[in-house]
Amino acid sequence: MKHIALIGNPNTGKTSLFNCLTGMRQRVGNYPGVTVEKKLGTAYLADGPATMIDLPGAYSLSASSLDERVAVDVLSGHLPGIERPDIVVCVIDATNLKRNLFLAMQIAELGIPMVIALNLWDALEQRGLSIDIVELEKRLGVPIVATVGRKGIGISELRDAISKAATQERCLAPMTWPAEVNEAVNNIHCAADGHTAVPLTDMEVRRLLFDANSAVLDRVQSNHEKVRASISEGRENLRKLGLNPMAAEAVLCYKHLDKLLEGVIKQAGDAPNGPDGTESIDKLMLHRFAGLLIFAAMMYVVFQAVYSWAGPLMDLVDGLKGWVQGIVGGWLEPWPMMSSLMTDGIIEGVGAFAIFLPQILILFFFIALLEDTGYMARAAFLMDKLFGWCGLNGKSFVPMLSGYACAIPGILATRTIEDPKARMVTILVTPLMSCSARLPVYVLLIGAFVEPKYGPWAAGLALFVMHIVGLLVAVPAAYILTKFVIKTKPQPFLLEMPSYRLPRMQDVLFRMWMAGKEFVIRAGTIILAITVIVWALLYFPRPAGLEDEVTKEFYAEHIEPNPASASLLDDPDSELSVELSNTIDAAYINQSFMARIGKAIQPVFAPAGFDWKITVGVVASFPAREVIISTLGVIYSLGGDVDEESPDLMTTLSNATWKEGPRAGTPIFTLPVVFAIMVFFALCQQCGATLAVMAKEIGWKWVAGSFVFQTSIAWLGAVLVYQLGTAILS
Amino acid sequence: MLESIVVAAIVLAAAAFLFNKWRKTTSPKKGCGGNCDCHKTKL
Ligand SMILES: Nc1nc2c(ncn2[C@@H]2O[C@H](COP(=O)(O)OP(=O)(O)OP(=O)(O)O)[C@@H](O)[C@H]2O)c(=O)[nH]1
Ligand SMILES: [Mg+2]
Repeated sequence: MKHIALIGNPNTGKTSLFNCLTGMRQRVGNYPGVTVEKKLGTAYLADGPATMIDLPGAYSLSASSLDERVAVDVLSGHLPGIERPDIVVCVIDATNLKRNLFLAMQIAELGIPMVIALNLWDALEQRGLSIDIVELEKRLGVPIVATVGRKGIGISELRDAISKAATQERCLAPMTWPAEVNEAVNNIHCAADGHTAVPLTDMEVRRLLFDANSAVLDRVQSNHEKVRASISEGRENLRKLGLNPMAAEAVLCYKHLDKLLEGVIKQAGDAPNGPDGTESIDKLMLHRFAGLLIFAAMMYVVFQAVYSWAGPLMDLVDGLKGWVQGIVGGWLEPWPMMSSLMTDGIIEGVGAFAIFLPQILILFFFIALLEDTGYMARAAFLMDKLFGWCGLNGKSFVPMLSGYACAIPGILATRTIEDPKARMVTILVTPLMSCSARLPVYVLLIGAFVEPKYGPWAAGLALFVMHIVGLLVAVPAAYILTKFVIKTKPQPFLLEMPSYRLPRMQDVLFRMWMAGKEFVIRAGTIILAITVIVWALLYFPRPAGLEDEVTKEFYAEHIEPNPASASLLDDPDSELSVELSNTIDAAYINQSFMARIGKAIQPVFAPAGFDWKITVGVVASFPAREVIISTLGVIYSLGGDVDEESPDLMTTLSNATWKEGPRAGTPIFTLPVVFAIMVFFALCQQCGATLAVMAKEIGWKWVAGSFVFQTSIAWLGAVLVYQLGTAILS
Repeated sequence: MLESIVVAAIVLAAAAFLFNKWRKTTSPKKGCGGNCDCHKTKL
């Protein structure tokens, strides 16, 4: 099967075309660096199926970041397991022809047959311009097709062109270099000859000449002195021509392209819609104060919407949960243990978590909007203005902002950062961003304790504040890391601002669908499994005499002073009966394995105001933070603390009181406790999957360090919030 | 009796699932991980 690679500058629509050609649904987004790994798919061409390879965007082949290297390695056939492509489709932003052709000229030197896709053709037309394709095709010597990736226009033409290119093997003519460059290349060849395992190609030698730290030098095994001397000599000759050696390639290539492109771009009448307005919008959006204000206001609106739109949908899911619980409980009535596992354990735990699906969908709706309009890159720019002093910049802030959806894609997105040290710092702080898995925790606690007291406005504000907490820790942490631990040099801000675009509804809906699917799968697998274990640890042991003992005590306390009430116990729905059965439930859970563990660890969290039940929730949540919700659900359901009238977890939590100790009878969940829990969850590293991905990127040692750091800082934050909160409120 | 066996089986299945998941995520997969050298371009 033929291998066809899609390559081009970042954000030119490679993945959009890939999706059109293969029918796949890889992620597209309107900012550079969406694709950071190669993706394979199958396209059906006239002469049969072919393997398509979607690559991360690259500006040139002298790649310095990990994602660009993937592209370069695939093209040069150096990536194990992937053959060198038979054809490259060079995806070019038609509105930025010259700069995009620079990469094409470099690829030309590899001698692979090429097809050029002039993508974003609609944006070109919108600017009232046109490109003379016939003429350009003649001058470049390769098939050229105009495409609109997001609408699927020009795809069948592109397919035909690819099939044709496969048979005709038409390559882009490489540029001719001035004599000085050729001479320098010859000299370097002479010096390196016989000192590399495989002889260097002309192109590789030119990389030695033009790039400051070319990896090609590593391939020279001996005779380094001579090779270096010949490189310096060649560069000296370039200087004599008036060329800065580091910029020589670009200057020479652009000169070549200027000639090649003369008269190809044409005015096609008046611009029908005028310029796309990106610049004038950006004057406002990137403004030092107005921009930040707009950013903050937008974020507030997002969280307010996440909070308030979801209410009715949540009630629906909650009602469904209660209904299922009733039916299953009825079926399993003769088997109390099984019934408890199903209703108090699985349905209660997973249901309490599943309720938050609407919030996740709404959050991802907004995330998709931000990414697809092109605002993401602006937000990164604003963050750079605000927090640039901490040693991070736009290329770090894009992954960090992605971390608001989930830390894992955020960590993978750091592959766009060239400097390995800056990348390391970014990976270490990205898990502090408030990912969507924290959202249910916040919403549960804010819904139970902030909204009833202070109203929905305060609830939205609290949610907004919780999403900033992690950032406020990440920035100084990054500062300390870059200054003292990993020591990076300040990085220039280099992030291309994409044009604003209207998001495609199908992309937005697809993003929501994927997030929802992921959420449901998590609920049905890892959350479910942990819930079952938590249930078992809370249900067992079941000592034989416990029920009798508790009943006896209950009689001594309630019936003996008032013997007439004994008859009430015959009615299982009477208040007294319910109280007795709740007391028995509480007695069982109080001596369960989990309670023993929780009570043993609770002193650690006592300074943050946590009781043993919250402690159990926190500890059980280390593999996946959402587990706190299902765990609290199971604890209170098994412990007989659920209010029959309104059995939802929020009401249950707000009714919970201390059973013993100095605070007996007072509510467990006071505002300081609630915020202490939320701060703990905002800062703690409670995600096994993230740890595993981090370990793959930076090794277990760093992961262990980051885990210890985040756990300590989370504990410290929780204690601080609780202590300050109680001091202020009392 | 049968009930206890079924419950025990469910709990064991959950534990096995989690153990398997944990083993899968921590086992070093082939690939580069933090070691960027294997990605090093030859250009
Ligand atoms: N107007 C217009 N927008 C397009 C076209 N093709 C793609 N887009 C949009 O451009 C943005 C970038 O598209 P992607 O396909 O993600 O670009 P990419 O080249 O894969 O980007 P990276 O993976 O980041 O290098 C998305 O918002 C697309 O919807 C097009 O022909 N016209
Ligand atoms: Mg892409």
